[in-house]
Amino acid sequence: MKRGTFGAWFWVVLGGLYFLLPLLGTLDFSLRMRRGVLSFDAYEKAFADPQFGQTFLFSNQMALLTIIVSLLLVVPTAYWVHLRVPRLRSVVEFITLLPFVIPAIVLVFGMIKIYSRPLAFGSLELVRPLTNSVWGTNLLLVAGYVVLSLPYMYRAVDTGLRAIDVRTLTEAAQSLGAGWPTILWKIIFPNLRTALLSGALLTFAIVVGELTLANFLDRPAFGPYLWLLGQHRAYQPAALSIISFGLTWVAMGVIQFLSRGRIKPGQVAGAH
Amino acid sequence: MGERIVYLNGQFLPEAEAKVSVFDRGFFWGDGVYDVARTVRHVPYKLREHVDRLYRSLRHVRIDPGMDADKMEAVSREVVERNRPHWKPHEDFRIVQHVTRGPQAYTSSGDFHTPRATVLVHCTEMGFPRLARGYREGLRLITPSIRQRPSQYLDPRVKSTSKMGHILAEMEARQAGEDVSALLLDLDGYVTEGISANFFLVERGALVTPPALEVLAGVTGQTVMDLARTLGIPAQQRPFAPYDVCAADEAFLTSTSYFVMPVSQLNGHRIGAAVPGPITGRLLKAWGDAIGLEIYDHGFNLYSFAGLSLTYLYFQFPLMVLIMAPALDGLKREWREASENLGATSQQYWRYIALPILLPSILGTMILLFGNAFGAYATAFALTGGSLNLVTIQIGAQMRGDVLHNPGLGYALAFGMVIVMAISIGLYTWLQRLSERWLR
Repeated sequence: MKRGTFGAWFWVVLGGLYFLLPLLGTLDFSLRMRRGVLSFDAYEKAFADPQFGQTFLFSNQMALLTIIVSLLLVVPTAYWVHLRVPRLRSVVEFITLLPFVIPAIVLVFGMIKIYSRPLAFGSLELVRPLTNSVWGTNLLLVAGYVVLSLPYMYRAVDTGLRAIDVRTLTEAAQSLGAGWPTILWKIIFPNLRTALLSGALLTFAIVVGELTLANFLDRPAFGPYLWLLGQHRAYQPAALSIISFGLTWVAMGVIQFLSRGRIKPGQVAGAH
Repeated sequence: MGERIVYLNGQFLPEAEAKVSVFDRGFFWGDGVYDVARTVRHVPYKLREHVDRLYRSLRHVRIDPGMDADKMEAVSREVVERNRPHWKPHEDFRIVQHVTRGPQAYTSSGDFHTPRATVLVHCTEMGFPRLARGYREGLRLITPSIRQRPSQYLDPRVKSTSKMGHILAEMEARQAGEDVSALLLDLDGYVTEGISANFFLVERGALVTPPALEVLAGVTGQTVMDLARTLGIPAQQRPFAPYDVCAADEAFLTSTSYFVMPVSQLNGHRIGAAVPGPITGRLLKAWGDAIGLEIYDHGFNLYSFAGLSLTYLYFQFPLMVLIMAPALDGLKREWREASENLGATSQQYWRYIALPILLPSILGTMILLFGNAFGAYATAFALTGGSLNLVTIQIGAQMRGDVLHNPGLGYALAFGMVIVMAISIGLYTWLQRLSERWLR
């Protein structure tokens, strides 16, 4: 038993070092812009760039839209599956895992190929190509993000639904005369508050730093900005990485604080 | 760390005590020439070639340094020796000889009689880390509006201290990005040289560089020509235009400080598919072998396959935990107790019970992780700048229209990926069904 405990600790420490050392390295590097002393110069420079604010705001807006759309999509679906067709659960779960294996680059490649053509019957053009307008491209971006965030959002909602007695709540509401929209809006959403929040924050963490989709759809998002900065500057990208890491951790902290043992959000990041 | 020692007009002095008259013509009119050699592993490299070139420059501009080339070489070596205590083990040094026409009591550009020339020899750190990125991703060049000075004004082979044209050209290049450098054209629009660097391109397996009259007679450029001969790579000198550079298979700059530096872009056009290209890589390797230095092998390299794997692991671990956790939760306590009651050790429990039950989940997770890594783009792109040959990077390059634009290839690669993914997902589903037999 003693040996087992020691072995377990050994691996925990090794894993911890593996995850922490690169972060510490980045932090250390970001403080060394001024020769010989530790300073926050890189952070000041990073904040002083107006593009930082613009791209960060844009990414936040996209993240907010993504969260709204994916909540509207996932919650009713998960609820319906839980209540009506539990045998479909493994199928739905499987579908939500697909974004882990479908490469973002293939997704965006397909999007550009399909939506850069107009929707037309013969010579009658009904809808202009989505990629021709700013709002159309933003729409594509949000749609792509909804797909990317599906695994995280679905898992969070699914765990939340398991923790409450959906059937009893629904029956009680129905016997009091509530319709489906009322049940979803007044019963299910409030009961899933923490689960939804954790799904939303995970989505936020993914969308804010996302590079592939934003880059190829040519939107002024934070991910491409960070990448571009990495091509041209030495210290600021490190500073910005630390800042965005900090934001993600704050988000995780908020999840942990609000859930406090009720649900366990997985802190994950897939490759995009 | 004491103070560096320099040689100034016959004396070896600490840097702070080395003083030059404010009426020195070098300071006033840029009236002087210089040359730069380097050390390789703390030993001066091709010093004599550089000193000889310095003396050719001196003869052309009619400055008498007051010593012959042998003495200049000896002085340079002594400066190297005297600075040895300050050297860090992994750093190498530039050895710079600076000769101006000297001070005057009352200086005017047209009156060039001076009592003696000013001779300065010093050595400074090369600063390798700032070169690392160029070796990895290749330099980006632009052709600025400033042209190479024609030989009718001052022969480009003279290494003159008045560098205003170069400085303005480099400033113009920096507008395009902090690490962008200038490639100078002559008045007819032909390519000449980079800033203190000779330019080469590779065309159908052969090296091409501009004619010698147009450019500084680079010591390293000559070394590259010699190496090419021993490697059996054909080389020729002839004029070419930016058009030829964009169509070339590879391009690189040569200079004393970095030997050969791959060039990846000219005016935004991507040159070649990989950094460094095959011929550039061979030259670097041959040079490294000759001087006992391996540029692309300073221990572990994060931008290699192994480095990429290590980085992928960083996001694969949490994913594995996320997907495996439910399976681990499904292991029933009773199974362990039952096996212990029957006298099984912990090892036997894992070997005969837990692992076989978990195996489908483990394999399934591995397939998901495979798919995830297979499809990863952002990490590889951000880390290696597209220099590693991955399927996703290739699709990205086709979409951006880099290299040879061929959308059909993009379709084919994307479809190939979809097939590979379909197979892995099929396998995953099958394994998932197997694992559900016990866990659930």
